[in-house]
Amino acid sequence: MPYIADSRPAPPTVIGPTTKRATRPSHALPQFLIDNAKAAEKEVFDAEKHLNFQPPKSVTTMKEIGLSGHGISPVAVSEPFPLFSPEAISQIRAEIFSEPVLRDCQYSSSFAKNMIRGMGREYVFQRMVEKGKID
Amino acid sequence: MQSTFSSCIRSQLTLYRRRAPFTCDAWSSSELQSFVSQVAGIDLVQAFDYEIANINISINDPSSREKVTAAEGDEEVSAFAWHYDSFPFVCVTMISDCSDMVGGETAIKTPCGDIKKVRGPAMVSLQSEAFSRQEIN
Repeated sequence: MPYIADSRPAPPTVIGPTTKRATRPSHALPQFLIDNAKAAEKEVFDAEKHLNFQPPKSVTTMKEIGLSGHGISPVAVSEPFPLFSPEAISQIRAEIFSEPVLRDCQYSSSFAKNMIRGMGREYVFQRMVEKGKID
Repeated sequence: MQSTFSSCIRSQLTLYRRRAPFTCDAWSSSELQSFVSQVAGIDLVQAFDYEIANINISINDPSSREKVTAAEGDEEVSAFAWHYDSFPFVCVTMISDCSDMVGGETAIKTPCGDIKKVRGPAMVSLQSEAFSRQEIN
């Protein structure tokens, strides 16, 4: 009887970043990125106002890229589609380029020179409170 | 100890409110998750709360207008090198208008070695645990 594992493709050879410890970027971000993001006034997320979803014109299936039956859905990748309104993008950029995020959340690795990571770390605690895991 | 722990949590909550409430609320909203699930063809929620959105910032040299290619090994020119994701689906969102940008694409490599590129300026849903991908700046 054939093993199920035999019908799967070989696992990929993982090539991880050579940066093994949390590392800050060596160059500061251009000031214009920070200045331009500051313009927005803070808003509370409102799905009605801040989402602008339009379905993608088409999707590419797993079958079309030679991976039929693999993964968790027949959809491999979609064409680009609108999701956020311009106001939402301003709000997100204002948070990314805010002082607390730039102070605490900037990282760099051999994969990407400028990353923001863990921007929602305090959110973990809020969710735990909401789920009743912490009183 | 319990009360100390709780007050510590409370102060963390205050910090949270100062950091990225809009972004976290947006990605956690049932409306957004419903739209992304519709595209993905399966119900999805965010994988975990700690890193609800990770951001890669790519700054182009304005003097360089050469066409960027997605050839393997061109990691110097990409915002993020070729990689497999750990998650079944990722939602790649461009938060810059990349219509006049050099690059601004996400490339996926299929099992037969073909490279398919998807261009912004909006967003893309990818089942990318299953294949290698790269963002190009």
